[in-house]
Amino acid sequence: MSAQARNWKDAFLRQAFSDFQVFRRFSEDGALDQCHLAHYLQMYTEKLAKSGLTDGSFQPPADHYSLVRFLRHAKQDREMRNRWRGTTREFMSMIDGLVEYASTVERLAPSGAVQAPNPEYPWADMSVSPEGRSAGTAHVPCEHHFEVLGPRYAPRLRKLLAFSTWYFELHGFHPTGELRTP
Amino acid sequence: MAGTIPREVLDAARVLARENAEIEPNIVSIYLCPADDRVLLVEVDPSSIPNDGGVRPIYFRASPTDGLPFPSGVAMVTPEEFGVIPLPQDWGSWEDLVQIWKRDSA
Repeated sequence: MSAQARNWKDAFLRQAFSDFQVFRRFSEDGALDQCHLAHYLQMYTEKLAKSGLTDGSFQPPADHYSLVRFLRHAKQDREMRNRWRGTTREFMSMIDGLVEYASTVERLAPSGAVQAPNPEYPWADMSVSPEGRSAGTAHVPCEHHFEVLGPRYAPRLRKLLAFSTWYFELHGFHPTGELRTP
Repeated sequence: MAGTIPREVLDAARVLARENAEIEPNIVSIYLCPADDRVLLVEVDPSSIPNDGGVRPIYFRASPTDGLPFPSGVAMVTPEEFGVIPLPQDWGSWEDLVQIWKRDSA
């Protein structure tokens, strides 16, 4: 695709959809380490959210905490509510049901001195040994099991993916295929 | 029908169904698609976003450390879609499904 002049809203949504396609492609590869799927889940949702939070005239803030803000904003967005295929009450309920899971997805992004599980960088286990010293064991993303992508959270993951698909389609992007998580 | 499902699959399905229902309080009932070596669930949720054309599951690897020693597939449908829209080809028919969980108030 050739480079086109776009406003910030369109640019972020275009890149979000590209990341979403990678997420979907990765989901079909059962041999892939789960961290990559978690990484793209966090990245596409962040960009989708940033697109939704700008009117296009300004660059969205460069932080990792847009998804929950976007969902709260969506509840107030009359156009989105009107274009939802269900009732306003169902739309509100669906969004409310996503916020907690969205917060978990947001926290996948590494920040500052990485000391928590994340899909990109090794982190230290800061649990304290019986002697009172930090164990400092290094953990590797590609060996970590991301519960957020496990079957226990299937209802929330499915809802987030269905909402994302709806939002992309609303803006002219059409994903296809089925989803598998490594 | 549940008698033809291996005990281990049925037990794992019930554990996953309870966990899913705990995570998503809008789920009103959960059905198991009979299979020998995987857990395939259809979850009925009035707040679910309708499927596009047919039931669209998400598939997961086996995860013994999470208490799920079988690969799984989880699909969500609205009450209006239940029994109406097509199941995935290898999931059999709606008549084959076995209810394994129901919310008390449902």
